[in-house]
Amino acid sequence: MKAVASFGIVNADTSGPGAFLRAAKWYWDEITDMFPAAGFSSIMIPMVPNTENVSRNGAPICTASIRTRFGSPKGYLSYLNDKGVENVEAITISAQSQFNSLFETGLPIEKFFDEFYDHAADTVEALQELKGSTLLVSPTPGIGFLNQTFNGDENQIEKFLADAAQCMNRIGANCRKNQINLAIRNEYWTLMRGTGIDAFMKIVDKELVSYAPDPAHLHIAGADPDAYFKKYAGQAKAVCFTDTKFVDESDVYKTISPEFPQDGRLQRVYYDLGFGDMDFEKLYAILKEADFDGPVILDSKYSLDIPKGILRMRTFWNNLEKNYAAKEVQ
Amino acid sequence: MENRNINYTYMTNLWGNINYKQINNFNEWYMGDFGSAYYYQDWDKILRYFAGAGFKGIEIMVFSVPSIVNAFGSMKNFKEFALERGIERITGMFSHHVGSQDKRNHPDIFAYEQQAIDALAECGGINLIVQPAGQYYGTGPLDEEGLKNVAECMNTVGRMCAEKGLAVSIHNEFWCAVNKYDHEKFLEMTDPNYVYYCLDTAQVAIMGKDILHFYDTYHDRVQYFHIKDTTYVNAPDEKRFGAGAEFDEQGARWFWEPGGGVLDFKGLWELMKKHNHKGWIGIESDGTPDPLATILLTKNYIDTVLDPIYK
Repeated sequence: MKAVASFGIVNADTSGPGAFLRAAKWYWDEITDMFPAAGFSSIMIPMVPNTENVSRNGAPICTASIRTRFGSPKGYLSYLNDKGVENVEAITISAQSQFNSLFETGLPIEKFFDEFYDHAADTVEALQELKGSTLLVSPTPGIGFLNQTFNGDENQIEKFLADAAQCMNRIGANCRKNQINLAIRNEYWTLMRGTGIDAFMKIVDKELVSYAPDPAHLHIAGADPDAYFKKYAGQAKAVCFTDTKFVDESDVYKTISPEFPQDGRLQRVYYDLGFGDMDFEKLYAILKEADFDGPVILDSKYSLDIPKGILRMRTFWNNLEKNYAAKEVQ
Repeated sequence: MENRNINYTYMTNLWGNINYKQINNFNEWYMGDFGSAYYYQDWDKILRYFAGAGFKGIEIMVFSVPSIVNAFGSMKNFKEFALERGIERITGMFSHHVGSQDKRNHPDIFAYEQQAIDALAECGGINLIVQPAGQYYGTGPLDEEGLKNVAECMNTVGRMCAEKGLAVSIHNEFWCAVNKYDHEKFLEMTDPNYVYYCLDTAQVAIMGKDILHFYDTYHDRVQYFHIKDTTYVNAPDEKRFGAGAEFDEQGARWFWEPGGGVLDFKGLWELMKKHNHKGWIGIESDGTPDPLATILLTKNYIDTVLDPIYK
C-alpha cells in the first residue's frame, strides 16, 4: 500500500485569521514543504472547475491556477520534485463543486454532465503530466441540491442518476485511453450514499469504473465500513481514509448544507486521522488480507491546525503499519 | 442611529468564506485541537464582531451568495439574522464582469448578474460593486472595441440594477484589464444615469492615480467607496499586469487598514466635506492576516482621525 497525503487537509473555503491568505502561492510553498518533511512523497489534490476567481490565485486548486503559476502541470511537477514530492498520485473532482460553479458560470443544469466530462478530461490530461495513477470522482451533487433543482421530482432525479452513470462510463473510457484509473467516491450527501453504491456499481461499466470506499462517508450514511471494505477491496484501485465522529441525527444529508450542518448538537464532520471514531486498524487488515496494493489517500480533511495535522497524519500511518506488523508477529 | 452624513459599512471578505450560520458547541471545535476555530467560522460571531466594533453595515461578495443561501435558506433570512445582531443594513455586494470585452459573453454575464442583483435586492442592499473586466494578464490591453463592450456591459447591468432599486458602481482593481491608461476614459464611456463609481483608494493609488485629484474631478460619479490603505502607490506595469497580480508570489501585502499606509485620508475627508458627500462608506481590508485587529484599528482611526474632519 502506498500512503498518499491529501491537500484536502486545507479548507481553502473557510473563514478566520489568515483564511483569505490560503489563496496565496507563498502559503502553498510552505505547506507543500511540510508534506515531504513529514515523510510523504506522494500527494492527492482536490480540484474544482476552472473559473476566473480561482484561476488567478496561487493555490493549486484547479488546472488553470497551476497553468497560471507554473506554466503547465509538468512545470508544477518539477516544482514539487524540487521540494521532495515525487508525484501527484491522484486528483479528486466532484459533481458538487461542478454544481457550485453553475452560479458563477450561469450554465443551465441541462449542460451539467457535458461540462463535468470536460472538467474530468482536462484533469486527466493534467494527471498524466503529474505522473498520477488515479482520478477520484464524486458523481453527483448533494441530494438537497438536486431536490431543489428538480423540485423534488423523483423521475428527473432518477434520470440524473442514470446520466451520472453514463458520464462515469465516458470518463472511465477516457481514463483508460490515458492509462489512468477511475475510482468513484460516495460521499454521504450524494445519490449513491452509503449502501446506494451497490446499485450504482451495477449500472456502470466495471471494466472502466471502480469504487474507492471511505469509512467516514460510509459510517455517516449508516453503512458498515468493514463490510464495504471487505466487499470492494478486490476491485479497488484506490481507497480513502477519512475520520469522523459525526452522527447524522437530523438527516443533514438531505439539506443544501450537508458538509456544514447548520443545526443540532453535532456540526463538525471531519477530524484529523486517528482523532475520530473510525477503526482504521481493522480496515488496514482487511486491505492487507485482500492484497490491496494501491494508493491509500490519507485525508485529514479541513484540519483545524494544518501543520500539526500533517504531522498527525504521519503518526497515524506509522502507527497503523507498526500495529499491524506487531499483530502479524503474534 | 446617530444623525450623520456618512455611515460605515465593512466588506466581509477579510474573513474568507463563512460556512456556518451559528456554531453551537464550543467543545466540538476545541477538545483535541485546543485552538480558536470556534470563534471564526460562523456568521453569528462575525456579525457580532462588526457590530461590537461599531459598524452598522456590511458588504458581501457575490461568491458568498450560494453558501449564505445554503446556511440561511434565503437572503432575506440572512438580513433578519444580521439585524438581530446589530447590523442594520447589508449595503453592497461585490461582483465581476469577466470576459465583458467580448460581446458574445454578455448574455452569460447578464444571467449571472441577475442572480446577484436578485440576491442583493432580497437582503435590502443598495449598491452592486463591479470589477468591470477580468484580470489584465491574459486580457489587456483592451482595444477601442473591447473597452466599448465593457462599458456597454456596465450600462446594461446598471439598468438591470435600477429596475430593482439598486445602483451599480465601477470598482477598478489595479490588476484589471481596464487599467491606468484607460481608467478615466472608461468611466466617461459609461452612462452617468446608471453607472456610478466606487473608489477603492488603495487599488486606484497602486494603479498610479492621485486619489484626491480623481475624487475632486469625478465626485458626482463617485458615490461609493472602498477605503483601504497601501504602502505601494504607482506600482509599475510589470507588477500590475502579471499573472494573478493581487496575490504576490512572495507574500507582500498590498492593502492595509486606513492609517497603516501612506494614503492621504485626511485630504479625502476634507474633499468629502467640500462636496457634501452623504451615504455609506465601505471599508475593505482584504489581505489582513488578523481581521479582528484590523477592524478595531480601523474603527479607532475613524473615531480619532476621520470623524473630526467630517462625519
